Amino acid sequence: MPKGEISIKVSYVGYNSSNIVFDLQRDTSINFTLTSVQLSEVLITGKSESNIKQTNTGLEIIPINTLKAVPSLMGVPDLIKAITFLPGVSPGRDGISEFFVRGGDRGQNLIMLDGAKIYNTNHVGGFVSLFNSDAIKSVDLYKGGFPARFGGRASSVLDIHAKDGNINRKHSKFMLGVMQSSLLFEGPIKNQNTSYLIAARASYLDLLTLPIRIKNNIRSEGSLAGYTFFDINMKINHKLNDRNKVFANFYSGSDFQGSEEKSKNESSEDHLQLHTNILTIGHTLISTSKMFLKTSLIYSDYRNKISSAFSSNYYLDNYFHKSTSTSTIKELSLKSIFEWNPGSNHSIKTGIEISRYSFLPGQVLIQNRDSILASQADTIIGSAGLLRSLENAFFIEDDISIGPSVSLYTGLRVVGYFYKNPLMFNFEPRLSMRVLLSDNLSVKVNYTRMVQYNHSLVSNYQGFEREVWIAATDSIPPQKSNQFSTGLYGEIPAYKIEFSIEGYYKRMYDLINYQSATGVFSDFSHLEKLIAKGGKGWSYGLEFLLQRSVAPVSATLAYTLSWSYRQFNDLNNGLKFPFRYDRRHALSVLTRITLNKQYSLNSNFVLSTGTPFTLPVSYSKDNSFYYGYFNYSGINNMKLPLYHRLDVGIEKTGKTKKGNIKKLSVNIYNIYAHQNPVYVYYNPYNGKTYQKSLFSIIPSISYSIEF
Amino acid sequence: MKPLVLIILVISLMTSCELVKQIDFEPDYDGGKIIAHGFISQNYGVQVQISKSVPSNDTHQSSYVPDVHVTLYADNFPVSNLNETDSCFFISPDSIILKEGVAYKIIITTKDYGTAESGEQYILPSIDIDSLIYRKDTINWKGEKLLYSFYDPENNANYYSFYYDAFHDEDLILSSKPDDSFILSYFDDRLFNGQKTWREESFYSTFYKFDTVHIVGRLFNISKEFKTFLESLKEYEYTKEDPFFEYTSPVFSNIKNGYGIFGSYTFSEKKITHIKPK
Repeated sequence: MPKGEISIKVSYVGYNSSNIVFDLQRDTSINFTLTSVQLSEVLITGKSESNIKQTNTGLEIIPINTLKAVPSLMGVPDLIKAITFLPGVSPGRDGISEFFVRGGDRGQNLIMLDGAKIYNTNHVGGFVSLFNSDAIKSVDLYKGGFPARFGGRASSVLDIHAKDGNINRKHSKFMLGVMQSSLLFEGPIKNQNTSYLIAARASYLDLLTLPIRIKNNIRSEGSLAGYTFFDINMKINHKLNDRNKVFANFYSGSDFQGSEEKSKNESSEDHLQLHTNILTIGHTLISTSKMFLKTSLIYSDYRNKISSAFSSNYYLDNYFHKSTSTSTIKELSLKSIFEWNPGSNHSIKTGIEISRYSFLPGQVLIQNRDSILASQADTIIGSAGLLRSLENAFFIEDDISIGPSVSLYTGLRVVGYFYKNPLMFNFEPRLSMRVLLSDNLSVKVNYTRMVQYNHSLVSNYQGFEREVWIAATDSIPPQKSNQFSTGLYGEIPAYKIEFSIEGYYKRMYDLINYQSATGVFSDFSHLEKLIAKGGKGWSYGLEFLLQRSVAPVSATLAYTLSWSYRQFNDLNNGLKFPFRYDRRHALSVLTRITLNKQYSLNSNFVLSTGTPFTLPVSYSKDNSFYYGYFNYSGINNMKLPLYHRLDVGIEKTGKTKKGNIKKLSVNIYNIYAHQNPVYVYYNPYNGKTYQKSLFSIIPSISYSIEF
Repeated sequence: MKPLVLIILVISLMTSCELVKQIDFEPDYDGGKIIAHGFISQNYGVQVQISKSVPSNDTHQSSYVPDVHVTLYADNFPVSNLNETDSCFFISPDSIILKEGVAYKIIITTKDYGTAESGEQYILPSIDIDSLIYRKDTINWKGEKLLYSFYDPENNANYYSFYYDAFHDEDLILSSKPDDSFILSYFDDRLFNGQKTWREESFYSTFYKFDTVHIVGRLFNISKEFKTFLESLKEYEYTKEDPFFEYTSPVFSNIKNGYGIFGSYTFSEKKITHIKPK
């Protein structure tokens, strides 16, 4: 180097750089001391394969952080309600945890927790979903483009995976809410080869009504309603060696809802109980870095029991009557998937799924004691008996890139179905193609056929819906759907914005419905007489999604334009009618603004066309033979007024003196108190029209602390 | 969290439920359609009441239909015009003899509301009550029963209805028939097709106050359409004020271009006398 003033910059990863200036006259040796860098908290986020590059259409990957941030009714993060903000996913009744995908029925959603099918997705009343967001690791929603490894439902797949439990350190969380509280424990057990997770929730509405309960017992007269639920998720993971892992996941949830009314000589009681138990045992074998074998054994048990009792006690006249209706589902499944990735752009999956079902759609037990008539009877009526079926599926799928811009997905699911009589075979092809138009833009097309062997039927019990499931039989064929979808997917990197436009057309066949209003104590022994069979469905629409998922301002805008219809020979005089949740336009905007390290603001706004409902077109007045009644021109002939709502929430995150993370959330559901109608009715006496809403403004608060 | 905050939140939640308000909502109106409620029977011939539908939100509007004619058809041939005996109430002339095996229907013609046509109905045979027995419960002192039996014809599904009246002198002291309505309940022969069956009605009465009570039992043989109408009325009543049903079950009609029912029934009657034991 030439003599003179020299400047040297010294830098090293993890250390602050240093500039040294000196006058160079001869060979010189200089010692440096660098100070280490003190980094602030680093947040490492991962992102799954971009929607642009995936081959299939209709897949929505729901980030858990987004799910938890959505302001919700009663401040409880709710997976089911959160996904209704996605395009193509329609919510059901106001405040209820249910969803309808691309004009499909609720029972056409395949909802799985670690591979186990869930038959009932919410707790009594439907206001709280079965899924504890603290115990969820990932959620994928398939609205179309279903991989061949999924089957058995006609409209969607919601694939939920439970958290494995923290393998590195113990972690606990307690959350105290207005209506419910939850707790979570997770951590390693031994040598970091085994981890556990326990998450539980319980509602305590009953505690709030305890004073009334005590008072009632003293007076022995009056009325009382009670409601409580609890659920628990337990998961244990164990690494046998570098190639073998096993896990066991257990879920149990129960609901109790009841009302009692007492007077001096009479009393009546109504009770509803729901129980869900699921056990999944899984094994993963990593044969080589390119081959995997995943096997799981699943047992699930769902029970639904409704009872209604009346008793009277007068002089010499004692009367007691109780009706109990029970519905159960039991399933035992074995699922095995072999995955082989011959190249980075080629993946093959194949496997089997064997499921044994046992359905008891409805069994009614009548208990009667009458001292006057000297009668005593315990009679089972209205039982369809146990419906047992076996569904054996084989599937194979191949996802391959052909050249730099084209990828092709081909899949086939073959199902052999047994119900008493000989095997019934169905072939379900799945095809998708993606063409990359540029690095940031792709176009896709897809065709999917789905066959559903288990049907759901919904009836009503004191305002709460009751869903029963039945197996396809010789005379009730499985329902089927064919769906075509295509879309354009892209991103604008400069603004970190992703967008998609997707269109679909879906035809559904062999749908079933109750022929008419069916109560829970109906006679199920002539099941086929209760059911309208051979229904057809049409749904089509366009979905737009625009999202930015980068702090400090992240937002999602979803808009759906859709149509959905049904037709049954035995309903509506055989004429086509709009599906109950046919919403022509649906817009939702989710935003999350991170104000600073402590505070963040969340909001969601929904605006949609009112859902169809049935209103009379005229009135037949009282006549010489019968009282007056309303006349109807058809099912779902009117639409409810526009639905709109804004929910907001603020979150404060901080640390306790001991360094634990604490979080305070305040949510306001429906902040401008818009009364969204659940239904509209005429008052025949004053000729006026009224609407009834369930929820106005609802504030809620929750506090959680993590250890 | 302060307890006060919790209480306020719970109260807010409770008070925000069950909200009802009046709204301006323009309902669809069918413009006024013909409504016919009529029956054909061996006992009373043809009886039909005609009215028109009124808007759902203005049910006080008159349902009177001016200039209306009702014609009875037998096997698609006009037989006779029905006579208007009261405001829009029509009966068949005495000269008409109704026969089994003939398909009867009515066509209603109006000046302002067009024409409506009923479905076809057949005259049903009378099913005789074989036995009618009044029995006081011998174990307990209050319960009473009316037992009756009949032979169900061995053919297609039959539908029945049974009602009883009890008289002391000429005064009605007990009736199972609903107030201001015609037949409402029914049963079918699924459990006793082609066989003799015994059935019973339980009740509490004041018969013990009277020396003599006459009990009249009536067994109605009703048509399938009539039964479907009754079934739909029941479902309508069950679902009409419950918003959680997907829709209110509509009342069945077999009146083309209108609403209502043209049904068929025939009843048989049996009378017994109960004398107070001394």
